[in-house]
Amino acid sequence: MRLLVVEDEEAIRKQLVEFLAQQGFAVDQAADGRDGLFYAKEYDYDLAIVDIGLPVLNGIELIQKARAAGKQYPVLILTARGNWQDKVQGLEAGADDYLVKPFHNEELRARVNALIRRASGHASPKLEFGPVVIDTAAKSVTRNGEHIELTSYEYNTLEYLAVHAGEAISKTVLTEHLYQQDFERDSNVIEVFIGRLRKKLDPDGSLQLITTLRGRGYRFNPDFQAMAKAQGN
Amino acid sequence: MLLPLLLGFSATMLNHAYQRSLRSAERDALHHQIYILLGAAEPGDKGLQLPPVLAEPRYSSVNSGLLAWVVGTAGRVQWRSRSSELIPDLDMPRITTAFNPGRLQFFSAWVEDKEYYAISYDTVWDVNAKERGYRFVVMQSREPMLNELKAYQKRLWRWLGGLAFLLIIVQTLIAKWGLSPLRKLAADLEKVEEGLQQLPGVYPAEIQPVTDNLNRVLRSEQAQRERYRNTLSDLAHSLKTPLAVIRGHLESRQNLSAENLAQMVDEQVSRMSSIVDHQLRRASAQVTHAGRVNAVPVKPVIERLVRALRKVYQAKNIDFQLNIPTPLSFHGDEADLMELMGNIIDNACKYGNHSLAISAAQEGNDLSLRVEDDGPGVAADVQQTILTRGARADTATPGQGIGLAVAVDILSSYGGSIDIFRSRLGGAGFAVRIPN
Repeated sequence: MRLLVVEDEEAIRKQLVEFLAQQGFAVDQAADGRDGLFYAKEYDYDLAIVDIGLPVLNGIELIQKARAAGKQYPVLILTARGNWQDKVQGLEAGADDYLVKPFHNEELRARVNALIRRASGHASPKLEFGPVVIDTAAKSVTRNGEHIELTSYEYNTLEYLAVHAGEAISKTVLTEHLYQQDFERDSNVIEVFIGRLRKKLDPDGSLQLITTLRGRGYRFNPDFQAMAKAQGN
Repeated sequence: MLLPLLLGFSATMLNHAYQRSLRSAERDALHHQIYILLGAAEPGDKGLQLPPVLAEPRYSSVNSGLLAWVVGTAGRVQWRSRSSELIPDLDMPRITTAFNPGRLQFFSAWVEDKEYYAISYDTVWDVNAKERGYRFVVMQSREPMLNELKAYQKRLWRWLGGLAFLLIIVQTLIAKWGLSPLRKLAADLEKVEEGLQQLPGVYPAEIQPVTDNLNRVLRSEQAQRERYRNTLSDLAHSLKTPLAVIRGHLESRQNLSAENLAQMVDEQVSRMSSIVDHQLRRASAQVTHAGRVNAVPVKPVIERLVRALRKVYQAKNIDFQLNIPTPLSFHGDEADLMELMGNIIDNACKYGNHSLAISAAQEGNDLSLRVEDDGPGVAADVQQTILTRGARADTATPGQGIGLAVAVDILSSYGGSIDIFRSRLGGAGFAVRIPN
């Protein structure tokens, strides 16, 4: 999952980026509205976190322009004032949720996960695929109730595929959403992750969770979903 | 400024008119003298004869200022009045124009440094059966006329000068008297600057609205200052408690584990943050509503909030039922209405399940707003606490009821009230009343 953080206060931006990176997100960052808009229009993020009071171009305008440019990903606004006029303005401009500063990291994590989940059409933080359960809140995976140890990159690859279950995801898209802007990309690494995931999740090859689509990338196998159950309500 | 100009102009005009009338009177007099002479003249043996004493006594006395003589066509003096006897012939003005019977001429002349105004009349007489031409000349000294003009001018200037002086004085007095309330106002404002709270005293009706408005501004300014001072001291005092807790822990060097210490600091930081939040919102909410003039339509504000909150609580898929008459208005600040309703509706979204009802109506002099949800409702024993919390933010536990406390703060600044009731939807209902 690749995130954009636009925040002008350096201390807060650093904290945010650090925390989100710890959570396994690839994070791009910008310190003012103009830079932020450039990133926001240039890449397809999974989520953007935008402070309302930005220099050069304020957060509301940034969101409006990104939305006008056709960007659909969820946007979380940060506001220091916390009054309803700001919140309503931000939401009207195209944001999906707000967070009032100062906030707890746990709160941020919950909102970010909820928004990403909501954007992918899943209501519950738990994605169930038969015996395999991916808990996007806890970032953990179990098979038949047994915890499966995954590195964060492995988990992120799996989560991205599972959230977009049934879609063909190219290696380029995967790399884009796993690594941040200034990261050297190597699509071979993806193959390695997929190989390891298959081995860990499905050692005997009976589930066929991830299908390789020649020349098109990978697909999390939709036939395998017990989506009705996963979506619960 | 205009006054001296006006007076100067009228003086010039008056002077000019008077001069003209004097000149015309002078001409008439000379004309008259010619007729007197003509009437007295008799043709005799030695040409035209005039009697030594004429009807006009001034011809007989020397230096009377009125002179007359008759000249023949050859230039010989035929007759001269006694009054001209002291003047030598050579000094008599010579008239150079050609003899032209019937012609009347006016001219000015200087004789012995005196200005004269003169008339000449050319006549033809039948003397001894012979036609002879005679020129009659009458000269009148201009001295009396000039003296009279001078005296008139003197009088004129004196009167006008006096008038101007009087007018200026009157004008100054009027201005002084008319502006005295403003001067008083300026002095009073100075006193206000030095610490007086209100503009004292009564002012004339013309400036009473100004002073009333000034007093209103002063009052609201004062109230504002008072509130800022209170907020500031509230803020400072309420921040002292968490700071004291942290310092206490640090100074007592208790054997707190790193984890407990972090937790303690986190708790106090959250507390301070919510205190700051609360005070900030209270400060912006508690502006005076003395001049409640703008009518804010209620429906669009609520609709905007609902659209925004629907987005935030998308996962809950809440069904909002709105029952707000379109013409309903709130007399106050739009931001306050939004803040008030935002907090109450947000609270209902948080605790409700799937249904939410918002209704508004004008009930008598009050604006009534109701927000109901289908959540668990509010237990009777906490009802009072969640509504009074925030009155003392330093005792509020972070994250609880701050939103409602803000709503209560806003309401109290408008003199409104809030009540909790059990909703027909099954959950809590909040009923707000604001004088409107």
